[in-house]
Amino acid sequence: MTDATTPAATAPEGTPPRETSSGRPPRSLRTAGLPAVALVLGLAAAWLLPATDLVQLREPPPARAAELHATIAGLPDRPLVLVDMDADLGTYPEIRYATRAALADLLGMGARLAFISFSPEGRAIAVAEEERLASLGASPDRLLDLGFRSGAEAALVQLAGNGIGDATGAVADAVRARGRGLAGFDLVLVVGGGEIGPRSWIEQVEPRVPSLKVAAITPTFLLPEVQPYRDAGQLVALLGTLPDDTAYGALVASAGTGGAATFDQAAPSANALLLGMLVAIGVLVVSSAGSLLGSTRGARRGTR
Amino acid sequence: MNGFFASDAAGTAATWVAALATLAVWSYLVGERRLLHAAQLLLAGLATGYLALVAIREVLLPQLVSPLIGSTVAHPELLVDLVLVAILVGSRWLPRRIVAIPAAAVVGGTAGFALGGAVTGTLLPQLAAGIVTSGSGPGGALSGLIGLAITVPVLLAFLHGSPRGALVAGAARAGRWFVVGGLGAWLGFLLLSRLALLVDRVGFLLGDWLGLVR
Repeated sequence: MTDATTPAATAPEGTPPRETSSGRPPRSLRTAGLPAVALVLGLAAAWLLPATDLVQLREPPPARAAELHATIAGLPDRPLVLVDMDADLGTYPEIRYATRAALADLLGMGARLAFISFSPEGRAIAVAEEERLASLGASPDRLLDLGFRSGAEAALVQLAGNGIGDATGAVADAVRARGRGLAGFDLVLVVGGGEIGPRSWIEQVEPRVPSLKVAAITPTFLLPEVQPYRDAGQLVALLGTLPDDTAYGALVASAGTGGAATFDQAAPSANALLLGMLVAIGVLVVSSAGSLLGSTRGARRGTR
Repeated sequence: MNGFFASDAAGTAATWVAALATLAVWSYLVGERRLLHAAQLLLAGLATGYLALVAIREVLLPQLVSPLIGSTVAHPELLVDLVLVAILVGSRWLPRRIVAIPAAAVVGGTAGFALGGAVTGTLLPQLAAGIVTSGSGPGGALSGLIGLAITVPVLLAFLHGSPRGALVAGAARAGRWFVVGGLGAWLGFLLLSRLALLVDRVGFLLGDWLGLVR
């Protein structure tokens, strides 16, 4: 893509491209992004295409989706659930669908939810989701905002030792009435991110409160890190990929009971994701072939 | 679609701001750097302001200032905290030996929690889960063998400077390839993760902003 007539093409290696006299970036930079623009437009076109049975994310339902649904269905009547909202602002859109499905699933079970965050980004998401639930009609006496706890893993240890502290409200009273501290919760749902996530809970809280059940929703890139915890039984359920999330959303949507428990979010476009993956694979193949070809040529030159 | 913005005027304005910010970032794809720079400044400013607000409203005021104003005698440990915070604030002008005290407390505490948790929460339970029991059947035994055949070479790959025989060196070489394979697999997960974010943004523009899809 490098234009031999541009300043960027003649500049020494490692120096940033200079702007032209008009203040605009060189032509090479302006045209370099055209494939990316084409990709965005292609994704948009793929999204607008109607969904077909040929391309579906949720078939067959992955076991992980059924596990979380069964875990929530197996909770006692009107369970007390602690939601640790610590997703990253940058990656939350990937797990937003599954998170909202889980919240709807829990509210459909009559759960009382306490929200807590150990990262500032997670706190922002928690506030937004609590407001969304309230606007959907979730009763205030079923929601408790435990706010932001500073100190990351040290704060988790403090939570394990002190429980919910001096929080007030119907949910807080119900937790305290059980008299078991953090173990008074029937389930912890960890919506994790890069800073605080399921691993933090497994390492800092579970050894101190072994009876606590922890389920988790994480972005795909964290799956290799947290899957061993699910395999070892340290997590009772885990959603970690888009097919998991979509299958779980379909399960919850089919069981919606109205109000805040209704789940009618649009799933991510399978067409667009398929197109993106095909493009990614194509780029990998082409770049790998180019790299192999280059190394073969280099080896031939070396033998001459 | 993202469900954060209501359908009132404020929600519409927020949707437009979000859409225009997205387009400003994407304008870099066609070589427009000024809009990207403006979006970066907006993000940095908002993030800094938000973090300061969270620190003041949810940490310093309720956990430090208010208890101290209420009853200093009841919370003597907070006086120590106050001094440590003051040292950190003035770290630019104070001697390094003094600044090292709160810094050491932060680093030491973080490392202590991380190491203790890694051992009791990850290492020991994962070792226990990796042990093949007599009741696990041939599938469990095979799975355990595969796990062992991968774990041992990978651990050997991290040996440096110790004398090696041909067997250990070969296993370490295989271990390095396992590490490369693992990193490749992780990059695949990362690619899917980032693709999902891009698709979500496209969906936001098509759905929330333009109203073309539900």
